[in-house]
Amino acid sequence: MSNNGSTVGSVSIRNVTKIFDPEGAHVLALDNCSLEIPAGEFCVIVGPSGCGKTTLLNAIAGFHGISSGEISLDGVPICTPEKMAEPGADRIVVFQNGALFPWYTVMENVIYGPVVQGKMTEAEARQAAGKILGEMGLQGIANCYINEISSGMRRRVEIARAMVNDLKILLMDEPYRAMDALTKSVMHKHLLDVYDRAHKTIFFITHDLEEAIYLGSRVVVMTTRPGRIKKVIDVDIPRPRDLQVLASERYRELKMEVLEAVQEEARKAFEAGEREFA
Amino acid sequence: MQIPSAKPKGDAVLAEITNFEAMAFRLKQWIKSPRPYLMVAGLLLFLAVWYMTTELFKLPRFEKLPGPVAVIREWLSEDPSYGISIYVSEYYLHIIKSMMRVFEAFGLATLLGVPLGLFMGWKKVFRDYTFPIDETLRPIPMLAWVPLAILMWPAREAAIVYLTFLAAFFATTLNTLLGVESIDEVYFRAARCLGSKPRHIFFRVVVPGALPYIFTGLQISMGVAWFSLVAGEMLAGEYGLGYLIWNSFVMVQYPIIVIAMVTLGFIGWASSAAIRFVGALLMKWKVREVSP
Ligand SMILES: Nc1ncnc2c1ncn2[C@@H]1O[C@H](COP(=O)(O)OP(=O)(O)O)[C@@H](O)[C@H]1O
Ligand SMILES: [Mg+2]
Repeated sequence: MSNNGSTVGSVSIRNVTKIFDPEGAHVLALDNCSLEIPAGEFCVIVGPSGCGKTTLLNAIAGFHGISSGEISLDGVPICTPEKMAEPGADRIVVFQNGALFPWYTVMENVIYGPVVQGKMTEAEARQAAGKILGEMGLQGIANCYINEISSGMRRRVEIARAMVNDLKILLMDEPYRAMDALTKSVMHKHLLDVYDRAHKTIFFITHDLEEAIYLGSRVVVMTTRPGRIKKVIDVDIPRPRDLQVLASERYRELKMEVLEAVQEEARKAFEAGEREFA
Repeated sequence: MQIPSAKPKGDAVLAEITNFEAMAFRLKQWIKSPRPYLMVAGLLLFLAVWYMTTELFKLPRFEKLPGPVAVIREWLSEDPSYGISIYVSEYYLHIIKSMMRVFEAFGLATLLGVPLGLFMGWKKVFRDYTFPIDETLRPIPMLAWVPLAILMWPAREAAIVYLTFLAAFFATTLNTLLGVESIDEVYFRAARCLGSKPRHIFFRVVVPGALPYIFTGLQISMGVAWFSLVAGEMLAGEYGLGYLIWNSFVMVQYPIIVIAMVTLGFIGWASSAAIRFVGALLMKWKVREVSP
């Protein structure tokens, strides 16, 4: 069920440790993290603020290196202490505050990847982008600039901009954090549709436990900093999922289970003097 | 900078209409607001005070200044008593001479300053070389350059243009550099995720991302260019509005001073408006952002 029938996009994180500023402040952000994400899984990471979730995502994306361990993609090591990963279109990030280029229209944003990679001519890219925007119900805003559309639309366009590429894994860092509940639920439905259709691996970071269970195939709970993997919970709720899930008994049990794991960490974080927690 | 695109015609027409409608809408709102009437009232009040202090009551200190009636009469006269009016070709010669100098200096400053600023912002190493020099030279007032400018360019013409260029160049480079630094890191990350090579990042992130600041820089650059030009022309000119002002002072032709000043004000405003216009054309995303 978690596998979604796809064969590419498995990520293997082995004994990854990340120390920021080893000579100076020496912040141990990730401590011996290991996690196997099978191809096509919707993997959700939760954990207290500052526990190293973004650090892990950035290492996969290639924005910074690691201090020890190894990250591989489909069996090929992409990130080691000697060599950080090169950012590339096989691992595309959807950023917390959005990163659509405001100087381009929606269409120009979506064709950006295939055009700069030389994978498609501009005309081909426009066709591919038109198709994806159509599937997502966004064809009407193709010629709008980013400042002219709502934040919900922007998130969907950003997902379209990622999906038009030949990607293996979609990396999402708290993409719906600042949204109201109503917009969020529309976003969830949309993301689930995309996932069911595209068979891509998704690495999704969130603070919101309900969102985690509703979307994920597995929920990975991280410990307070230094981040370790505390618990991995299988979400055995069948897909396609809809709002009914939220009313089911199984959902409530799973939520309890995640909540307990997270709360233990949150309490530790609180005692450690962290004010904000998941 | 847009991805070059062959948009279907229909869309282009639609966009035109929307822009036009937005403009018409804004104009209507403007006329309905008190602003235009206050502006006219302010102008009339200024003219009235000017008239009363100089020509009507001849207040001390003001009595020597040319009044509005004298200025306007001279300006519109077919046979001006001091030789400068809208009917005299020499008037336009001064204007054109000044405009050409500014155009040369501003153009050169833009051609050199924008790429330099972009590279400085983009490549940290490049900035480490140039930034300290730029920062030390920039605060030196333009007039302090005059002797060196004359030593470097014994021809007066070149010296004046050089001074004007220097002022414009620093403003443009610095603002372009700030523009690149203002671009959120997240856009660079997104661009790299999407498979950009360095040249894509330069042309599709650095350039369009810095454009708003570049145009702010060009506005400032145009302002300081006129400032330096007039100073330069006053010191070493043979033609030009700055020269006209100084020469008229020396020759006791006071109304011409005011004519030249108002002309400068108008040309300065027009050149600044031209830059805004080009900026709006290149940054449709900014224009549409503020339109209703
Ligand atoms: N560049 C950095 N230098 C030093 N410490 C950092 C840096 N980036 C993140 N950290 C620290 O590492 C820890 C993990 O950060 P992060 O991965 O952003 O947490 P989160 O789980 O909230 O996404 C935090 O305590 C943060 O303060
Ligand atoms: Mg984070």
